[in-house]
Amino acid sequence: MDKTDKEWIQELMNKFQQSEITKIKIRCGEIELEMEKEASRGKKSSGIISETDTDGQEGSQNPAEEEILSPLVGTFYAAPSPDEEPFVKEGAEITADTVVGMVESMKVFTEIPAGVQGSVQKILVHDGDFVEYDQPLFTVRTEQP
Amino acid sequence: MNMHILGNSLMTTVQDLGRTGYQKYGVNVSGAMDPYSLRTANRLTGNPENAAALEMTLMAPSVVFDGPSVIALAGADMNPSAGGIPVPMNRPVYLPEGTVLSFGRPRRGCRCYMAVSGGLDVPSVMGSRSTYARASLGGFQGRTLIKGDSLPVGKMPEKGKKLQNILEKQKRKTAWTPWSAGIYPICESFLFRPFRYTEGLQYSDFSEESRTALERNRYRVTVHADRMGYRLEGEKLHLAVQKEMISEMASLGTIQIPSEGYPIVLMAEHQTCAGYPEIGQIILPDTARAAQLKPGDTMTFEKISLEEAENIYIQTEKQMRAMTAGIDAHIEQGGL
Repeated sequence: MDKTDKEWIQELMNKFQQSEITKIKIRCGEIELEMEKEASRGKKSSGIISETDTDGQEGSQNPAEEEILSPLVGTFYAAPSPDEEPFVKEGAEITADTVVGMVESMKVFTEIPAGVQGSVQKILVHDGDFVEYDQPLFTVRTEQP
Repeated sequence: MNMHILGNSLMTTVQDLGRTGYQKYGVNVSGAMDPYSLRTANRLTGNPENAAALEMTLMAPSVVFDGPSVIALAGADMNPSAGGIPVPMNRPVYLPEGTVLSFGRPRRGCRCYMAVSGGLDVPSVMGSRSTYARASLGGFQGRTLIKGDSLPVGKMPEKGKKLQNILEKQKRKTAWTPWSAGIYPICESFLFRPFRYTEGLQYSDFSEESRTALERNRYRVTVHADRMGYRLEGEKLHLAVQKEMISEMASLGTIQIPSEGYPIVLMAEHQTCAGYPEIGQIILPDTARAAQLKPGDTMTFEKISLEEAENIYIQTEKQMRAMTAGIDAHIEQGGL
């Protein structure tokens, strides 16, 4: 590992810290690098960036995975009613407007729009779970550029 | 502003929470069969929960308002659409002037409630606007609504205006909030749970077998099911010893057993006294659920104590209160 490699890793770490990505795994020649943010630890995440070329390119990092967070505190519902199919299943293609679930508090049911485009990778909560503000509910694999 | 009925339907009436205090004179309470859905629809439009609204049974008429309106639909899902666009249940919906609201077949449930912000301003008779059709009392001319009827809508309350302002700003003609409200979903797993009852006045006069039979068997709602009561079909029930009865008070949810043995469940427009022995008394939250059953649907029964019944009633009211606070908070915060 030479000096430019170290600088490159340092730069990558800084960018990772500033970004919204919680976990990243990079292989570039002999170098294999895996970074994960403190807050995301304990969550199962399979976000893998297949190829990233950040060399000298500002802001070209496109997150491969994003999370949909709960907008409020309450009970999470995966389907519009107990007898109906869930709003989305793992693998479903979604757009920013797709309703992915509902959170109930005080008998008011608030729809959760995906906010991102891509495919649902993992559903992190179960129907009927109590969820907190900003708790990750889904991971979404976003489109590659 | 007026609401115009554009088509005929099965049984569409104006209902509020009923005419209380006159049963001693033989005037029944009437009112919404599923009062929780009526209250929900009213709250969603900013109305007091006792405002008069439409109760539509199995088949709903198309309606149009001759002014911009805020409405809400709760109870049975009858595939509502406004100007051809599907409209969701359990939400405040803004309709620009002249938007035709129409309905399809009921997807779930039997009775749909449509509240309009301001309420239906029909005359109050003996303290209520609800229709008691058998006596031609209250509601709109004391009868079921037909094509061509035109009903006045009351003054929109402040909360309704707030909702209208918020929803008008969306770039769609017909608009609704991204949130909905309700204390229960109208779905199979909810509708077909056992109907809970407490012991009726003559419970102990029934044979041991009959008392067990009521809990062990399924009963089918026959076509003789209306706002007055439901005749059920299934295992026959009998008294241990036949006896003559003096007519007694009857109530919403009373399960009577006439001599042929098939149960009758009394509903919103029940008679005020009855002469058949009463095996049970369905609890209030469950009579509201029974209101969403159609002929052909089945009922099972489960006996509970009076304490349990009171507890369920209190819990349900707590949920209604929480929902009301939740809706009001959303309206206050700008409705979204």
